[in-house]
Amino acid sequence: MPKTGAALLERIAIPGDDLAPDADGMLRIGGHRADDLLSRFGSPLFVTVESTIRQNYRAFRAAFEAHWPAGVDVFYAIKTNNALAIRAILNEEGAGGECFGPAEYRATLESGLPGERIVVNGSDKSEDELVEAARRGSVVNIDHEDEIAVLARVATAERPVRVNLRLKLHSEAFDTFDSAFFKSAEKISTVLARAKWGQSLPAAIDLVKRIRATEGLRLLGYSCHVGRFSNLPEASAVVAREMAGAAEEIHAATGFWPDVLDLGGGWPRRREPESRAPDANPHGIEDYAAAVAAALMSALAGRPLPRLWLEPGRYLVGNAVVLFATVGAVKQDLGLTWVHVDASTNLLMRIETSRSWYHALPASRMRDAFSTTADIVGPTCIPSLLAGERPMPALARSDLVAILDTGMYAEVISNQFNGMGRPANVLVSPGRAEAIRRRETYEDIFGTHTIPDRLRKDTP
Amino acid sequence: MSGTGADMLARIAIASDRLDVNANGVLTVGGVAATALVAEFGSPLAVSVERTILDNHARIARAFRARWDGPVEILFSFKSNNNLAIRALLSRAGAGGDCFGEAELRATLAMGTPPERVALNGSDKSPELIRLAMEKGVAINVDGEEELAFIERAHAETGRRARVNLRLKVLPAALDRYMNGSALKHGTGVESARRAKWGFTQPRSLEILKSLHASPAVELLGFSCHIGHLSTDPQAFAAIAGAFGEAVLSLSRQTGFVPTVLDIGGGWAREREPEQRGAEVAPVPVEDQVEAALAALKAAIAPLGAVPALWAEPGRYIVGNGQLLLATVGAVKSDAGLVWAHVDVSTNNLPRIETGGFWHHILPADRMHDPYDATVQVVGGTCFRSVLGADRCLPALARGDLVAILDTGMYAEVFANQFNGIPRPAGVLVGEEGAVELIRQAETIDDVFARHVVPPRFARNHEE
Repeated sequence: MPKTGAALLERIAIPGDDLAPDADGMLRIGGHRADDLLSRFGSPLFVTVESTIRQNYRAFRAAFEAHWPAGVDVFYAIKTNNALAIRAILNEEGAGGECFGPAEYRATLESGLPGERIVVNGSDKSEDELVEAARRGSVVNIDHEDEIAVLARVATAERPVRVNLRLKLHSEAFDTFDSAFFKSAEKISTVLARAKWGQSLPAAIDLVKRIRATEGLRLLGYSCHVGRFSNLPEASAVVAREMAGAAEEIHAATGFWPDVLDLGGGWPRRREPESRAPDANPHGIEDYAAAVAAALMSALAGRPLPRLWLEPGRYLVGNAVVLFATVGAVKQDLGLTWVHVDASTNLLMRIETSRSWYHALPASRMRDAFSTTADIVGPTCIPSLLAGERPMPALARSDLVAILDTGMYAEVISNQFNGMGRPANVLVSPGRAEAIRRRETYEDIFGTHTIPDRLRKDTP
Repeated sequence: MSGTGADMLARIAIASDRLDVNANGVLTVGGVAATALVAEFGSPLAVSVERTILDNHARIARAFRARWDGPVEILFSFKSNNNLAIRALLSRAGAGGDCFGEAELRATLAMGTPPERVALNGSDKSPELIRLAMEKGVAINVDGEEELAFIERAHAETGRRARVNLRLKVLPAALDRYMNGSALKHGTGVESARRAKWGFTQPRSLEILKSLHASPAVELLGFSCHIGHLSTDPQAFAAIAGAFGEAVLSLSRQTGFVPTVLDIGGGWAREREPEQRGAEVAPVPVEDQVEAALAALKAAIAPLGAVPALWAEPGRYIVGNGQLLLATVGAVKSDAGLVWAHVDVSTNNLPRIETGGFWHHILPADRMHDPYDATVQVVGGTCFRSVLGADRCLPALARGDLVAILDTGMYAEVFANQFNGIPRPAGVLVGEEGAVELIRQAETIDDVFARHVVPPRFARNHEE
């Protein structure tokens, strides 16, 4: 067991991290001291590390390109973290965009990414968003038959609309994996069948025929997105194999062979909060790329190999954001120690929805010996247990705590429970710290409320 | 699988609902057709009903006043629904307030709640917040050892005294059987209360009480306790109140301090309760819960020889059915033997489905007379599964239909997020005689991204 925060950090560090303790025990991130950043930008504070995003993107891309000979396209899943500055950095790196709905589409476009580099997902797309996507040359992952007619209205022979058909994969091959992630007593195959996305095989064959018979639509291939439910590379291989099998069956019924297989996202990270445990994932992205490529190669033997499309989110941004919080009341009773910090599960809702497990570091005492076991809690009117039963040095009011891996599914599903404003976010790079999200105020929280005059008057 | 939405509504209605069905088979809310509400204010729409909220407040106040010999204050728990118009409405009805933190405190007072009827809760109050509470004259439910030092500092600077209750932690073994639903997250049974950050047990509470009692900066009122909603079973409330009374008596005997206030917290169960914690829910009138709790409390503190004022902090009971969510059906998909009806709200708007196992009734708001002849998965459109209602009996729904999701007044808007960049919906208040007023503007995409800043070095003047 590590004896200090510094030793713990050394043990859990992964490529792309830019975290290191100073001689006085203060954690540095992206070269900046945590106390400097918090005194300048306030607490709590999300800190985004530019080099981490770039490094993760390059590693992800390189892993798949090394294993797949027919070409790889990477589309960032902006649902994971919709910071506009992060999207801008990924533009510089050359990443395409994966979006859902009008807001994510607009944010991706306004970041400067050409419409042609965007893939649009969603099981209930509105007419307006379909028309907009078609007009801008984006690729639509069709997930409902109604979409065909809408797209056909705006598509022309000169400007065809590129589409993939989203498949529903729910083979019993998935049932060999632990289903705990799904919080359901059902088998994984049942859970996947019951989800709203995709078309199962008979329906998919029918839609492939209809899409190919529709003037102006150009069917590229298939998409699917099972999402992360296991850290085992074999789970990703099953997705790839099932997709290849579906392509063969549809080919037998329709003669259509795909140019594109969009395998979606959910590519697991080394330090993965959704593992629900502190242990590192022993598998790197190369392992997933190798497993998927091998599965496809063997399943598609003799066929023309399609391009691989990938929609990573967490892999690119998971460890790129660290949440820093300041210690408030430290309470001891019943032999337990609660260390309050000024961040809460409002900001890390995956703790509440999925029992995500985050590493917490004593950011201002990285070199102090662990001397106690503490529950790190937010102050809100729910238990708000950020980190339970953690070895920690003795922490006191105004100490700093860092919670790692808050780049994924944190800010995008954050709320304002108990009237808590959401924090600022600052982007760090060598010699630079730039605000990329402003802290919320009382007015931001209550700004949309309106009070009828009759209720304001004559208040007791 | 039989009947209609109207039949279902008749079966599940509770006294303070103001829901009915008109001749066209449309659900009416406070007398106004759901279709008319959405036509005027857009979809999705959170609809609050003034009379329902006022009736719930009046009933729970009566339940306590009829069973307690001393004064009773109802402090509305703002965390359950922080809509300012609702807070203003309840202030006019005489409700006090329970609040947490600076934002809830300021909002509660700004909406006209008299400070003497406001309690400030929280296990980590800052020195600034303590000082603000003393300036405003609200009661502070002390829950940290440092709070007295903060009080004394503010007292030295302002001369004001703090009105104080001490928050106690009670762990009656009888609660064990009510707490198993939260085991995965918080441990089993009473252990989950033990592990929670709130309150003090003896000897800590005794030491803090002595310091508070001795401090000239403190006007010591009494004690508070809040475990929150565990069950609808009156015996759960009796267990908490009885243990609270025993702790109060013990502390009083050891210090000679006789409380003038006992704040017994909230979580009072509704008769149609979305929060189930894995247990079967039996609808229990609030009077039965209050009866059991106050009988246990009275018995425990009888030796005190005094009747303190009683404060209660209901949230859900007052606003739970005071609001519903109207949503419009989008894509309806049939595949693999299942039917999914997408609607334009999601678990973004009802996160307690994900975090607390909430189960909400869903009604076919514009087809209340159509037969229930389908089994439907009612889902939101987001990139999460967003199951709002699984395997629900409903009429066959089509694009453009309306659904009403009931009991969204509690812990819904306050936990709502903007996942997938989806703006949060507008809210209206249906008043007496069907007057409808906007109490919350719909967010826009601009609101969702308003706080983002792209450093100029990344700026691209991208035009097609």
